[in-house]
Amino acid sequence: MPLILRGFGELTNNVIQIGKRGASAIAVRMFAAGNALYESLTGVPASGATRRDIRAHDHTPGNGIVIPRGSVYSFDVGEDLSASSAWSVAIAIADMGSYFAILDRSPNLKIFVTPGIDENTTAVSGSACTLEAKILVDVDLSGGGSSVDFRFYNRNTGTYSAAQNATALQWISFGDIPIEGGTWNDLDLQIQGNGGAGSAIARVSIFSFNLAETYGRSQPESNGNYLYNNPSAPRP
Amino acid sequence: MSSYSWFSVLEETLWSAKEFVDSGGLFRLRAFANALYETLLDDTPRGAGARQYKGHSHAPDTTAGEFGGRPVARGTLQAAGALGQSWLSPAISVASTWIRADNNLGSARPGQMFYVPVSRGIVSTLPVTTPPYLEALIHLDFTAPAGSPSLDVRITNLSYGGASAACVVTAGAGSASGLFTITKIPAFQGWNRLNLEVRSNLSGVGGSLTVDLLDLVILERPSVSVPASAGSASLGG
Repeated sequence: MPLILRGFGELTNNVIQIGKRGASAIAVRMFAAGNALYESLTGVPASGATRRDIRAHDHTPGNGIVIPRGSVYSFDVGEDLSASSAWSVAIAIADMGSYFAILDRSPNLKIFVTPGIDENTTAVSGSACTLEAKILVDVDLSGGGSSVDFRFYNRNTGTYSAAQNATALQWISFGDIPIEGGTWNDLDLQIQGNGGAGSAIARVSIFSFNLAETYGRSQPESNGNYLYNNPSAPRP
Repeated sequence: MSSYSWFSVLEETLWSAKEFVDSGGLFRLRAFANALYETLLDDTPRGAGARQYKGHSHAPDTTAGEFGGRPVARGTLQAAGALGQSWLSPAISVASTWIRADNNLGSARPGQMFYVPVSRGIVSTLPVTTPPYLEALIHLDFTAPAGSPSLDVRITNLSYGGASAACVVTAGAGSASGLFTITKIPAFQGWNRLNLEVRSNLSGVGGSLTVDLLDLVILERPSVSVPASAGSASLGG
């Protein structure tokens, strides 16, 4: 069985002497680097090898660029907007003007966030990496009040999204839901009724809900400067 | 110490047969390997002080500033349902006309029925005949008032236009029930606004049609949601 080397040693300029024949040691390094890249890319042993030495890349930190996985939590309640729906609640006079979780369970939802997407350690376009959400809400103001504010609270990080305001049946969008990467996150969807003294909100309902890791808000910035096909990338 | 990352041209004529390898060719090989390392791992190679290339991100359109690599289907984009109960009950009383599946709600949903996040690199060509596109599974019951009319179900894309193929459900014995597939749903990277629509052929049949939609899942599937690769051989295995 031949010796199949796998490893990515330093491939620096000073090992190659200009105008000299190529040393076999350099070529052997290139063999090892090629085999290592093959195994990292494909996840199978290099050609001619019977076992794999290099861990395959999986798009987590240190093993490829972190990529968003899309929807992490979604539902749609259709026509079930009855008071028994877990995602439908009235806001009493005593609760107006302060936030509380829309569901009477703790936490409201648990989601698993891809390793490497983290509001405290990663960023995109100068802003922390977060999640996005699109939610169809219905605010019934027939009992009084003027509007309802919605926001997400992340129990892992102790931080909030910005608040989104609704006054009727409408879609609201979030682009800054805080997250901790690589673990289960405990989230609450909080609501706050707004209005004058003695008012109340007849009902707040959630029709449709989609919470997602997205390219625009969740994929960490790469430290590289050029795309692989960029002809202006620096060259020797 | 210096180290280069560069996707150089590795042409056969660099080295003639039976000649010794020269430093120029090795120079190119070394730079090429470093560039591959950076593109694969989004990291700085050993011995290098800085990086040049962005890591591949499974989004191939470099004209749009993407980082390269084949798109990856991520799975479920939207789940919906009412735990075995009727989730939506569209009222169908007119033949051969598409209507939104939520038309029977007390107040219509504004704009669209769903927002779904489509992965980067998944961009359909309209009209959709070949991958990439989305698929959906829908669980439904319907009973025909008389005869054996068919029910069509489809999903339209309001963000970019186009509609899926019609999923035809036939009530052979006056009713039909089960899980059906809606295929060739147009998809474009980013958030997509979708509607679920139904239509029935009620010709020669009096009265309306009772339809209960129980569950719906909209999916990116590896077999249909990523473009066919132009390559023919597998690198691994």
